[in-house]
Amino acid sequence: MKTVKPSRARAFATELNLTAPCRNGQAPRCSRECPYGLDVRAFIRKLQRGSIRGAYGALSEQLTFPKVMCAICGAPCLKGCTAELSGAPVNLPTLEQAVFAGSKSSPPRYNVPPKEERIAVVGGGLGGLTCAYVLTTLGYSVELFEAENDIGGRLRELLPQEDYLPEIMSVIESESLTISTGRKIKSLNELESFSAVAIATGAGSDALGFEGKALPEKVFAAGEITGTSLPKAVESGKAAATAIDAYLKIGAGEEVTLSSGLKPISAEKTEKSEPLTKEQAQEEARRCRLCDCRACYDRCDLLQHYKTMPAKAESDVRVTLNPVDCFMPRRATRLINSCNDCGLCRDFCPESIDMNYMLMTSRALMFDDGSLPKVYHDIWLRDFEFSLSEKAAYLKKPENGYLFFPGCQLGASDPELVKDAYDLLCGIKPGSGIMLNCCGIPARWAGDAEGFKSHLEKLKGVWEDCGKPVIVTACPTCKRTFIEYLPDIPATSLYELLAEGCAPAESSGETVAVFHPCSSRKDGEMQESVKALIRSRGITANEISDPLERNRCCGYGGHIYPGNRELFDTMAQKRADSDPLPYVTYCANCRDVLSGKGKDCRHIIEVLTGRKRETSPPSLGQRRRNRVEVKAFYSGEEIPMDELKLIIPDELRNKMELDLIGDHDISDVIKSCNETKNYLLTERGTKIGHIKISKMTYWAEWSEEGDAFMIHNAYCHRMVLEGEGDGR
Amino acid sequence: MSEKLICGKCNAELVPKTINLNYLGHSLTNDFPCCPVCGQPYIPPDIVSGKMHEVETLLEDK
Repeated sequence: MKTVKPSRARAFATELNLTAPCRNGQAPRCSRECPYGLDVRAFIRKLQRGSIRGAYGALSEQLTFPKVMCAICGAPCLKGCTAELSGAPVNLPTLEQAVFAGSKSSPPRYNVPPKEERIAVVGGGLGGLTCAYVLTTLGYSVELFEAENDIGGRLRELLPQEDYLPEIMSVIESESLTISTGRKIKSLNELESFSAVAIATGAGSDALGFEGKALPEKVFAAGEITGTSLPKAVESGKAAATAIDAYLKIGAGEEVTLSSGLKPISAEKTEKSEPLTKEQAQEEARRCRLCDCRACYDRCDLLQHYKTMPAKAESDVRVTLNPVDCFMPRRATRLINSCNDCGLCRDFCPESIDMNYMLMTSRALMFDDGSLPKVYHDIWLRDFEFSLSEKAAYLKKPENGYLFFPGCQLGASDPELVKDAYDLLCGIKPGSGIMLNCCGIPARWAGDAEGFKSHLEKLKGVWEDCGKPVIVTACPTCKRTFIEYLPDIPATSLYELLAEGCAPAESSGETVAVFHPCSSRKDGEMQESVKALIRSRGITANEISDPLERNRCCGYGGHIYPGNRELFDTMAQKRADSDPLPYVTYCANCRDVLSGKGKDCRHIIEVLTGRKRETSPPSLGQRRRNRVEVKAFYSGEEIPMDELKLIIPDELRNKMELDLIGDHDISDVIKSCNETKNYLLTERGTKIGHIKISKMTYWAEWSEEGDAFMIHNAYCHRMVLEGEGDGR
Repeated sequence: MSEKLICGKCNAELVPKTINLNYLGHSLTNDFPCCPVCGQPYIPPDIVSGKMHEVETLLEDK
């Protein structure tokens, strides 16, 4: 019986709800953390324009007693500030203090016709004072009774009198308000002549005998007696005033039962500091990004390319993993395949939303169910396979517990870099082994989770067979792969070992910007080691000047090129233009991508040896030959390339590189077509033939020139000709 | 394609023929020069970089 395999992609899509906490399009986190729900952006905008008065207005519009309320909130906004992720939080309390120091309070006065009703408020704390104030603004006559000799309630314990009394008095001052201090009300009977009574005697009081009981008609509660915290006593005082107003107008009111045994919720004083000057306040305010959170968007080339935000991207991914044929297409296939796997989105998201995980998992699920176009990674998986083949892979076991792992791309980029790097390692760790192989990341990037896992197991087997040495990587991505996916294997970078005890040399006057590869972002030790090594050659090592441009992917990560060439080109060009200084990097791919965009970019090994490559990055065909050269050098074997001798004009060579056509592909086309005579003859005397290699169909037009082949044209396509495969 | 092409295997001149192309589960047909004997096709480079590339992109986004 045929069993239907449940779609893992569909199940993942159904449960996908990563972006629910995303703050884009919502109140910023500081406002949500604020006990008053202050519209921080409105306040900051005024300050950014240098308007202290305007900023005061923004506060006093929202806060009944701005200075007092800011002094007792405890500044939870600091914890919610996204600017903290790239330095310190925007210091809202110091900004508020600057505003209070630079402006005079002028509370609004209302001209409301007086009402006949008289209202008693019992308790002169923050809740009672607010209630009384709001009632006077509505036109009522209010008498406030305070048992102590001064108003203020719990503010007296928290703040010096000069920090609250003047502001409160200036706000509540009104002909309709009478304050009777030193007058303790013991029973409601004393207040029979009032139309309504608000009890605001504080948490822990007996509430005129109503503690734990339902309040009778015309009696209301305000402040901490309702179980609220001190900062929220203001809100509670306003609510009580509104309820009293409604009761007196329409006789309506909810029955309220007071809790018993309430204790005051501890209140936190906001730290006081020297007030900033207007200019300093403006500068500090400018650090605020007025989020609408864009922490991921500002750092993610993919989101910028698609002009999308996490929630929309997630919705598109959901539909793509669970499409409804004809109605809802797999609209995010290319987006899913455009993630560089750099993880910046997650690391800078204040809610740690992991878009990287979502996209890479989706890619793996689509690879698994066959819906990801295989051509997106076909060339890289063949490249991966080649780096593991007998022609390129090699192992010399270590004698000293250190195994050098240069990665698949360093030797492909330049065989001399591997030789120099290994020599440098053997200089400090004689007897180190060398392993020419790949960390397997191309399989992860292709979405081939099984292939990646099985390769990691093989690596682990080799490591055990070598006596469990320390793996010394030259490529930051290899190191990250070992650390994240093979945590049992001790891995370090060549640069950390070389930098041990190295001292800065006398300055040569040269300055470079260090292009830290995206995979080194969390690896402070590797970053610092590379900078120390640069300085040891008398070169000043700067960071990329724009903080938003640091540790960004050059475009190579995730192997996005075949699926999104436009995004790759945008990224590579942006990174090349990030800083006018020449770059030094420690990833062979970064060096090749950036120098391919015309940027002066050296690998750290070049800096250490003083040998700089002057040519442009090697072609795809040359990269294979370079790998073979490295293997031949260490194994002492003669390794045939099995490639025909090709003559390729420069213009065609450039086109082939853009289309990712290797010499080996064209060589295979000619060999196969000549063998089967499956070629076409042109009037020009050239031959044209094609073969399908893995998922791609390659075409070549050639003529024979002695023992070589002159290539006149080369191109490839993804569609599959009838009888040559199903094109999946 | 105005140029005359001869099949290297059959020595026959190519003639237009409808052939099937497959990609990502979709099937399309188009006329291309083919050997009348063995069926060997020719897809010109301008078609590959032009219309065919457009269709490939379209199907990948479908």
